[in-house]
Amino acid sequence: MHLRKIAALALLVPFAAACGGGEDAPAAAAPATAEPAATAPDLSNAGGVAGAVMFAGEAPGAEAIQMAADPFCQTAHSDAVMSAPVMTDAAGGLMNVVVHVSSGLENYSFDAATDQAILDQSGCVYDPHVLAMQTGQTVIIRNSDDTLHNVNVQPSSNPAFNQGQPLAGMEIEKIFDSAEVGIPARCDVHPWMGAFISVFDHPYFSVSATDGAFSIAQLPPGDYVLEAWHETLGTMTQSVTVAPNETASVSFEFGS
Amino acid sequence: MAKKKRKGVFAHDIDRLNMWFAIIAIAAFTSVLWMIWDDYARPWKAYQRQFQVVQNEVTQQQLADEQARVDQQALSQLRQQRDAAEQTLSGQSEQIGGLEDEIAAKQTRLDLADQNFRFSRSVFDTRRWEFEEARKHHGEEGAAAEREALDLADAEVEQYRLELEALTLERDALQTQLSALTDARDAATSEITGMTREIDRLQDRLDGLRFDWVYYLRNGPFMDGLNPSERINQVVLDDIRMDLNFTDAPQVDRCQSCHLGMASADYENYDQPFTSHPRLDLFVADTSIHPAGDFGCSVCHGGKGHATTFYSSVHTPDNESEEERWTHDLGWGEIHLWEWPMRTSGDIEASCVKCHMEDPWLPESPKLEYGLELVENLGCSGCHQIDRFDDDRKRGPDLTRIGAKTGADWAYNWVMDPKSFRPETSMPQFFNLANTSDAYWTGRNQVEAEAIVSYLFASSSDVELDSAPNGDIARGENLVESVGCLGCHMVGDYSPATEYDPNTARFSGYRHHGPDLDGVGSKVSADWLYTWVKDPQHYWAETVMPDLRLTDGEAADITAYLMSLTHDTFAAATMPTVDASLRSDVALEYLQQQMPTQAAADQLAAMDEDATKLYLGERLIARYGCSGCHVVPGFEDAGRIGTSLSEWGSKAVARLDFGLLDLPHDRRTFLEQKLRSPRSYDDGRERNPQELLRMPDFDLTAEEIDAIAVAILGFTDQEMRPAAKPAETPRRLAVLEGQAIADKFNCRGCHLLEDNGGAIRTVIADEMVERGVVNNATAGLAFGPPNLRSQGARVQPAWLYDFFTEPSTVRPWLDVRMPTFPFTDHELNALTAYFAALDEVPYPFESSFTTAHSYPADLVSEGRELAADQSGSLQCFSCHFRGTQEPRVPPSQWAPDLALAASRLRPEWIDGWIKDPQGLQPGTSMPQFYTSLEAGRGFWGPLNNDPQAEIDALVAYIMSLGN
Repeated sequence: MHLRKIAALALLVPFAAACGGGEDAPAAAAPATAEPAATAPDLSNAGGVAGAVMFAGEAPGAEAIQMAADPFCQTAHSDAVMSAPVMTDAAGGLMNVVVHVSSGLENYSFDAATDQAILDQSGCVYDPHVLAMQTGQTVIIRNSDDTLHNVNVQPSSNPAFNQGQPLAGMEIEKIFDSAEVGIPARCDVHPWMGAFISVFDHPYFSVSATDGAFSIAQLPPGDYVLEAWHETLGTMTQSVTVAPNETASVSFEFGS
Repeated sequence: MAKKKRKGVFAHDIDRLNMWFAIIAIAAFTSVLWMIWDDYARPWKAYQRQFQVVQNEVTQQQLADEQARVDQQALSQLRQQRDAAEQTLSGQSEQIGGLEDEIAAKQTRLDLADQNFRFSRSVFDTRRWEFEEARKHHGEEGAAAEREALDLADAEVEQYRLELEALTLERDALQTQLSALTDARDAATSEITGMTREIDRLQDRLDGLRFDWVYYLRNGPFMDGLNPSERINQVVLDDIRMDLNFTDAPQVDRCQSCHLGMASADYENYDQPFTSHPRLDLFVADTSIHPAGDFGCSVCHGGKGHATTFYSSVHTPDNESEEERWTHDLGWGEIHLWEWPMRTSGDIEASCVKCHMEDPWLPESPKLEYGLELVENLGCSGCHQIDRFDDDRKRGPDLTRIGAKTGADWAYNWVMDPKSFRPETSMPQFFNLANTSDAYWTGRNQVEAEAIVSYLFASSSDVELDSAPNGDIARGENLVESVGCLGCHMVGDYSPATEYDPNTARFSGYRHHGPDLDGVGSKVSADWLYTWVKDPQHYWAETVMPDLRLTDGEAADITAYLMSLTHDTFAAATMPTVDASLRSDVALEYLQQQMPTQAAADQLAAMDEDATKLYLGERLIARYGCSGCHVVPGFEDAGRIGTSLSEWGSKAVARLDFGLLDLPHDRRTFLEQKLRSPRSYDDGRERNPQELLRMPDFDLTAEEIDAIAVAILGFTDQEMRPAAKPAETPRRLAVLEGQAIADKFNCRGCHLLEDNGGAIRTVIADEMVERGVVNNATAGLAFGPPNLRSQGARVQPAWLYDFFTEPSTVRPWLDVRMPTFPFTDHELNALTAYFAALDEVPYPFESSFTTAHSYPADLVSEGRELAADQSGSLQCFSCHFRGTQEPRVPPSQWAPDLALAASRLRPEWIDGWIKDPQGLQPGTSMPQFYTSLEAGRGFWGPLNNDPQAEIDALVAYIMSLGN
């Protein structure tokens, strides 16, 4: 009698153990933990960064662009268009440098800019020569010339395109979805025509003016790394701390 | 308590017996329980329970993502709309109820009417047949009664039809009334369902992933009848067989019982055993070309596919730390008796060989491709039977006329130490290796090398050489750097890094196809070189060196330049005087192999010094297998001297001779050691000269050894059924044959073919920058040979055939020239078929281009206007040549001659090219003009800005140019 009871109890044991789950297999690894969600920055006590990019040393002289191959381009300018790999003013201010925040913004997210950027082909040169814009922002690439241009853009992390614009007034609208500095744009018909497009996933960038001046405003207080990029001189970086409601002063100096 | 003892009538003590019975019963019962438990608690079940937790996690994350993705505002707005509509409806419940009742009543009548109508139709059909029969047999009058019955039936059908129509209309009217009331709610409900479909699906899935009592009940012991969710997942693969010694059976793979997440990309962040397969685009996934359901796992990974525990499925750790971890955590141990342990991740590509033996290019298994290239280029199949390379030509140069090419001093020093002349040569080292570098062998090596060289030069036949005129070294250098020599040869520092890029894991030794040219001036005679570059086949009929159609002046310049590339130590090196008595000893040793000792001695005494050298040279060439790679006079029919490698990958480890070396006994270790130091298995052994290992040393890098090992490990006896292999479609066969020919002639040295190769393009680009033609290397690429992507779709097969036979100028600005290759007719046809097959275009002469020349004149003139060089037109000739008319853009932007289009291009390709040049050739300078084919998006008023009409006109014009 007694044994039978024990047997009945024993029969239940496997069930109970089954419910406990298997301990004999090693634990599988958990997935990588998700990053904290990015939020829009608080701009109530925003500061900024301003300064100038200078060029030390002798800048190579500018040369006149030979446009004779296309009569239209030749006649579009009364004076020769000058071009140099490094464009400076008398005081050494370096133009066409893209200054941008390269780190320190990881916890923020930004809306796409609502205005449109414009890259114009006018008189067989690109205007501007260096364009900076945001991801998701629309850029209008316009042909203001009455001759054939093609816009051959070969980025490394955005889709490439190469479109012909045979008629004056034609426009192409493009949006770049990933951040990339210094995407080259060129016209194969007029080989002197080149431009650089830089795309950022935030609004904190500035292209230096003819005197080398740049400014980045509405930057939330914090520690940042600023990067300056030039098409031939490469990049330089600097750390900067932005205090509440203050504009930090930063200057870059490129050498030859 | 006192115990009563029963005695007398029983042979045994019953109480004791009962106690023993009890003990045995309990033990038996316990072991039964233990058996049940052991049978039940399988490790894979624990993994499956764990995986359910993982699945739960993943699904919850997906659900959260989906909820975040769905526009919650719109959703709650819709819900409000629906609720509001329901509110309204609840006030009209009486009306709705009434309508619904009415509809139901109407529907009942309608169904009845419908039934009556159908019945009446059947009756009508019967009457009609009766009438027709009656009329046939009795005439119109005799069938009067039937006619009457038919008319009656007809009337009845008509009556029911009318009734049916009326009822349908009435019901529809009621339905419309009802829908008018409920429309708002129904629309909102269906929109909500649409928005939340994915959420609902995930929610349903989550509901199915609960550990509730149902789960435990159906997965309990003895509950197999309840369709347990924990079960062995297996595939039975009829076309992949398992060798069971005396029979074969379908391969069964049960890996999926534990590797539960492998087929879905959802688990890529999880560790084994649940992680997603890293290449779902190629393997495992149902959408890939190797779905797990058709191929299983073990066909590539090895191991024991039908095993269901970690230990018994014969996993192989990748490295020592993994081995340690596995041994500690998972009870891993080596299983010697299973011939096919799992392949490590470093060796996995070896399995591709099973089915892709015939594929010359394997871009998805770069290490294997590199290994096969090396096996082929190093000439392994000269000594070893390897089925894949059976039909290959010999890898080294023909030696039948060597006397016309170089001198015996050079040849002696070359044979002695090839790498000292040309560091990257594929000629291996035979002398002064691990088993032949003691004092005795130092002298004997000289004897042997001298004998071999003597034999070669004594048996060399004459060839007529042109005498080289004086040339200009600078012009010659210019030519070598621009006409295309550097697609296959290197001049200047050569580094193995240019052969194999570990970052992309790609073999790129295209410029190593022919010998490096450094020092060539110290090797060959000027007359030979001059004759050779002008007409390579004159000296060596089987060479793959093409004819660059050099003028005598160009050939002289190139000769002058190449002869100026000298190797100083080699130029001065001579053949040493060897020990004559040692030569006699060695000759005697070889003679004794063939005849009795006394006869051998007599024979030796009868030979003078030259005869001894010749005899010895012949025997040594046979021993070392020189004729495996070279054509050697007298060895035309010699066989291979090495062991067969065709099935080496399945050779039993016990049959490998590891010598006295203390090494782990597995195939890969054996191979690596053999390749690293081919004679080292002789270390410490006592051998006579005839018994020594004789494999030469190729001086391989670790990467090369690794790649070769993978290739050779892949050569197994595991036969796949044809059904499991890639289908041998005409397209595949054409592509494979084309690729093999492209390999043979090194097309990729110059051209990008299937997106790989084009080795010379960067060389030429750099050269163009150096010459100041362009200011950056990217622009310089325009001066390289064209990318052959979509070549088959682009050109007409007849043109391509003619071009191969006799290349014509398509791109007048290029210095680099398409050489004339010694293609056979078969190769020519195979190559044209290859390009057509690659792009899946009709071959050979089925396309519309045969009628291409009959375009309407007005279409052609519209195209001419549209293409013209004026503002508002496309200005095609800004960049394209038109016959001899040069484009106005600088040379780096020049584009092919459009006047050749009619004979060269397929019109449908021009159409596609104009529409999307970037799509066909990424990075091309040809701009896209028509981003859309919508009406109005064109450029040309007279054609109403209709893009397709404009493209048609352009094609018509281009195809009519040059006619």
